[in-house]
Amino acid sequence: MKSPVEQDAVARSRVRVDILLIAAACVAFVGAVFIPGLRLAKTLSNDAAALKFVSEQRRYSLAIQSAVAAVQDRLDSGGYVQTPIDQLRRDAQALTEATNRMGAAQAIGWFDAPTETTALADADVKASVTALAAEWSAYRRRLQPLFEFQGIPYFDSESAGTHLNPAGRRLAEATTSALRAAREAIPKIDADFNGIGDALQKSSAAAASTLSLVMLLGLLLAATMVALGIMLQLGRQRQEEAVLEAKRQADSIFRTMKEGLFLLDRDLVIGAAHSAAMRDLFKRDDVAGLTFEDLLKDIVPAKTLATAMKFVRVLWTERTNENLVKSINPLGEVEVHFPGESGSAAPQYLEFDFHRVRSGTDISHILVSVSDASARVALGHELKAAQDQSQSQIDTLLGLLRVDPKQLASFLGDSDVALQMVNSILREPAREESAFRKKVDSIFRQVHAVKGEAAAIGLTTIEDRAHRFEEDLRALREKGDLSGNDFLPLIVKLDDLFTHLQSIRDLVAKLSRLQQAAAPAAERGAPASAAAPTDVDSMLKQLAEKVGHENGKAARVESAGLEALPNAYRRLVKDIAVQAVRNAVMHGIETPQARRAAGKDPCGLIRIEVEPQGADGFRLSIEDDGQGLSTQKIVATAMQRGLVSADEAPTLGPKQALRLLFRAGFSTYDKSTKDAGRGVGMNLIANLVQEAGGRIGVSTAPGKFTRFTVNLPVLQSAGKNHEAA
Amino acid sequence: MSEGPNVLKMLIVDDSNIIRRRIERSQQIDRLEVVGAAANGVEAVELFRRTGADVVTMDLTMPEMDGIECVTELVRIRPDVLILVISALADKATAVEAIERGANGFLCKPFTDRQLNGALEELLAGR
Repeated sequence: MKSPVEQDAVARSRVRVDILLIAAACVAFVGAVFIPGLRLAKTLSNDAAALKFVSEQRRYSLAIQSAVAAVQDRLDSGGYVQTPIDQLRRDAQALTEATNRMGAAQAIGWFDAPTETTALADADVKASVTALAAEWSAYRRRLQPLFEFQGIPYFDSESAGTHLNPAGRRLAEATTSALRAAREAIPKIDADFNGIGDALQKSSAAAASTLSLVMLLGLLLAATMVALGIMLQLGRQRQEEAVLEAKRQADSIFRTMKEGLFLLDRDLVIGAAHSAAMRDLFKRDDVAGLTFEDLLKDIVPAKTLATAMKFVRVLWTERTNENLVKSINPLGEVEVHFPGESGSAAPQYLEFDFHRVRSGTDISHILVSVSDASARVALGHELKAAQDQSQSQIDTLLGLLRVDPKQLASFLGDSDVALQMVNSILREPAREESAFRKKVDSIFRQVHAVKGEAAAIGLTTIEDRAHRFEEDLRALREKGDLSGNDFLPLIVKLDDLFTHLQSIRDLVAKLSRLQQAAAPAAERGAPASAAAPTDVDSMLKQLAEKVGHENGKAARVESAGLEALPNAYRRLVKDIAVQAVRNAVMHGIETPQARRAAGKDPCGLIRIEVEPQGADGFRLSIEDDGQGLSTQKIVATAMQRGLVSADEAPTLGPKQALRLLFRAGFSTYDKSTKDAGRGVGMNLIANLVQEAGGRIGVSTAPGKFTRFTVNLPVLQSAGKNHEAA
Repeated sequence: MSEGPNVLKMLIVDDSNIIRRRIERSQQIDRLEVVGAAANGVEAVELFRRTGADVVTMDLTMPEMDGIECVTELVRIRPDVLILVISALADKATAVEAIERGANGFLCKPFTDRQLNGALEELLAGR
């Protein structure tokens, strides 16, 4: 299929050929039919006129003969001769004039009016005419005496009667001689007249037959022209159909293509022909006739628009190398926002491409193609996210490699339980403000525990996520009116934590498979999930070291009797111990300098002991050799936090003051480090203990120690309570 | 390379010595002969006047006189000069402005030897 432009050129040249053909046919018709036809018609009419003229003249020869005979008769009878002589003179005169005219006949030009004798100029006729003139001239001389005769040919006397006088005798002789001559001359003259007639008739006949030939030729030519005309018409119809078909195809392309396609003129106005996809891409019907600026102004930022308009304008400059500016096309991949669309809709990207269109050597238009790049860009983003994700997996993996496998297994199990609990708390129905607050607090305790443990074993990715979760919870705590909707973002965070934990679990599974494949069968021990209580011990040691390191302190953990704990208490004890160790390092243990100054070991000591109490269950004590607690400071802080009033404060005894530590909101909220300042540590412990049906107490000696003592009931009921929390 | 009617003189403008040498070493167009290298716009204009260069590669961010001003000045001095801007594509608006001021094309840093020679060929072909 040729392009429309090519087709246009072909059509135009074909029209030129058509016109030439028609002109040639007309010239041929005029040359071959019209002119000869006219000429022949003229010949025919000339011949007819000449025939008529000639046939009119031929009677004179007979009339002359009769007149001469009449003269002789009158002379014989003595009659009056003047009348026939006069007649003879008139007839001879007429014949002379006729022969003169015939002899003087000549061919005439195309534009002269023909005379009766025009045809006699014809060569064939001319010979007979000349012969006629000669015959007549000769005969006429014999008649001369008759013409000249005057008077009366008789003696006018009674006696003589009507005898011829001498003049009469001469006349008689001349007449007799003329009659004798006439016997020879008249047939010749008649023959000449016949010759002329024959020649004219022959000429007529020839002209007529030529004319019929010409007419036949004319018919043929006319038929040819009609055929040619029909052919041309058909050709043109085919041409038009081809053009229409091309247009239909172009329309189909425009209608079907997914890209927007249009032309910009020098004023940057969009042309009338554009692809139908423009409507979907720009969400409007009226793009034809719109300026490029108007098309873009509401959907791209003003700065992008300004750059884009400059870019399109420089494309019109011949200096600009079209192929060397494609990389700076500001609309190469542009994010668009349609007015009236909500901001939450997926971002849309369009890709514009510009091509110069030349007509001859000049740039006539800019062809613009537009495609929807949203899917491609989204894919790019996904790819990036996937890369980030795999990077974070590598980070996690590297983190995991540093963690003790048993601790990790126990952490994974515990945090899963904690998150399941958060999930069930989130699902619990709640109506009242207080119920919502209770939910926030319960969730906080679980997440906080997960965070603490993650930090303890060095799983920063989990720690970060849990921290962000806590941030959200903190915001909820500070919010005035709580409603069910406020909890929705938490579900996303929870899901994120679950997913991340799952990915760690997957990694661990892969690693353990690797390990199992690599290790000899004999060395395979119990599954990692069945961790011994000593895991808690090493975790707490690590935690103390880490928190100490982060706070410029040194602390170590000594534990005893942890292995005596039943598995069901492990979690609870660990939760309590994590918070207690954290608090001890943060608040109890002094800096190494301070400790040295006080004559203590620069490295603080935290002792954790579990003692089975028989029927009374277990006693857990956590003691640090730090600076101890100041009841005055505790009361002052509690007053600051609004936990006790100024009137109440002086009445509080040391025990009551210490119990303030376990009140919710005792500690500050403003310092949002991961390790302290949350004010939940002791409150969390108290709550956990309470939920387990146990009791918690604290004792302290300033400058010497702080000791938390937890009494846990015997197992059966304790386990149930804990699970119920 | 011998002087001839078909040889075009090329001037390299970039404030980085490494890039200047890189362009000079990498360009392999027979018709181009590097006649100078400038580290800023002022130097470039001076060298341009002195060498009568036909082709200029131009950085955009330079001390003294930046690329945009320099392009404007070179085109004012000699309207048929061929200028290829070679710059990092931090801001398309600046790049488009350089073209608006009369630069013929743009090549994005970092570039490969093939990209550089391709862009120079295209620049000369568009002449």
